[in-house]
Amino acid sequence: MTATMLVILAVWFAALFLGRPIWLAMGMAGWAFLHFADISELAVAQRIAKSVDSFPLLAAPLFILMGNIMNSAGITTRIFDFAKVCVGWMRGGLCHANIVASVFFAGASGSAVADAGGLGTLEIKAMTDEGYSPDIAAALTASSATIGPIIPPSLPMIIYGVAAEASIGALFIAGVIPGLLMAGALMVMVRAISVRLNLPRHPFPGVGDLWRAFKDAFWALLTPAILFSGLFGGVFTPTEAAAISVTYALVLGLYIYRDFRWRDLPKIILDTVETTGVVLALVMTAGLVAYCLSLSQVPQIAGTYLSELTDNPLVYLLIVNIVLLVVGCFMEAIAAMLILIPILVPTALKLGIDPIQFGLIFVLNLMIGTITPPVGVVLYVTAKVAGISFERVTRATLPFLVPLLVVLAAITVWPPLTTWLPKIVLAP
Amino acid sequence: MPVLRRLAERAIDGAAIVVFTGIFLCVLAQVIFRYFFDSPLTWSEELARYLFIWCAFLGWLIATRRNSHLAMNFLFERLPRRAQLVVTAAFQIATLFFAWILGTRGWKLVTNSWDVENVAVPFNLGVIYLIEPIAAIAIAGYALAALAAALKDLRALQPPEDRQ
Repeated sequence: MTATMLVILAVWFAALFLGRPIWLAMGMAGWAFLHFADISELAVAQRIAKSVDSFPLLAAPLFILMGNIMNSAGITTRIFDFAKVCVGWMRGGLCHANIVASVFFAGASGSAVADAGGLGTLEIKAMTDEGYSPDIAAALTASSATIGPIIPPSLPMIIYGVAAEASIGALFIAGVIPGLLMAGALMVMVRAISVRLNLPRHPFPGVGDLWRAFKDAFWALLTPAILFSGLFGGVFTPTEAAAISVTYALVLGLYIYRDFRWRDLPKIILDTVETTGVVLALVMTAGLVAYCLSLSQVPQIAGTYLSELTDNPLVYLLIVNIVLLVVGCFMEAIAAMLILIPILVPTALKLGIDPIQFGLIFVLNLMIGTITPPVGVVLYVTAKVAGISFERVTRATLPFLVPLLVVLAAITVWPPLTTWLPKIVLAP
Repeated sequence: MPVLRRLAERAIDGAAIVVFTGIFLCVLAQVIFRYFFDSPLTWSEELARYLFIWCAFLGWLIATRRNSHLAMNFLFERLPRRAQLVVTAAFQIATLFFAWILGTRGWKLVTNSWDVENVAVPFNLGVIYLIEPIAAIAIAGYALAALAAALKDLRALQPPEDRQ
């Protein structure tokens, strides 16, 4: 059966490079495995439905809805304006504002693509209007967008938590420190570049301006606080916290900022269901492939090889980092995650690596993969928004990979960066 | 045909809005009843999960219509126009095949589980799986339309003397 599996894997990799759409490549690989291994094809229908039969996974569409409400209720604009006032006076001001706005927005959105497509449109326009090259605007938007799924809420962490049976709440909270580190590291890089390129800066705003922008953005900035207070002490599950956050965003848009009306809601819901469908088509078909992998015992076989390779957790993490960075370049993040989790996680647990730390390393690797060629989903989005070629954005993004890789190395080597905060916050 | 398509799409959109709103209200009701009234609901989680399965397939269909499913573009974009159309046609044929698998196996799942009662909600398990054959028909419909379009473009690409 393993031989059949290897053939199917080859087909699957080939289809993945030409996969149009990706779900079809995975669905066909799953069907082919069942067919040639003589297992009931009923499993195709069963596994596809089973993969989304999960209450924790329900947090995903709710957070997508929240991000969509934020983007259309003028909340994004207020967050960006506040970020501009806060850090716009530094050299390369709008670059810093781009990063800081991504941090604020990350607290309300769970996907890098939503960040790059929603907030990114605003940021790239503001930056090019002020004379920044579209290359640097797009590159910075793409690299700061990767903060979105690290600071909670986070779609990839929800999917990781469901697939690896790790606590989604703990993963969320563990993302806070690495997310802030990413922002800090990117800002250091911007500082180095902006001195060399002599990038423009804004005059220092008066206290009055600062206060006005803060007052205007206050309710929007409170959104992550709502989410956190729900997760503290584990009072609400992430799914319930998501529903509460959506309610808050609705009240904000409908009654406080009033940029949003009830009749906008059907369109927003349809957009949300669409995005949910895009994500879940991958979750469902990758779930089918993962089921086939487990039938053919690929995870066990790979696990034996992996544990023969090393019994040092740090060496193992190094190997995992290299594997994930390479895979992240060529494969879509969600598909890669669902297929690699059953292979890589058991060995990590056996070596005594904290499941939450491992989750963060996993997700950060794959998020870096969204801004590396040739399959950089986020690069595609920002290139389109900025109106430049994929190759140009890719080249401009290279320097910003350095700070992100430094953070990745830091959370790999020093577990407390990811394990300390959840331990305190979630302690009963 | 266009009328049928429009009707089907309106039905999909309507169902998507109803199902998604249902999920949201289920989760919200669950929080309110457990946290504020201290009397947890027994059916909310199960209902939300089942609606979610429907939501996933309806979203799949909407994403197909809006052509927003994630795809690997970097090799495809480097192909000449004719090869692109051939690849597209081949993938649409594969989609038709997959829809057939999903539809027939899904229907079997429906009939197999039609008498399996659920614990907390008043309908059987088959109702939940019913979305699979429905979605399969719609996926096949879109694939046929895309296949026809690709073949038509391919025909238009042929130089006139080959077109006998």
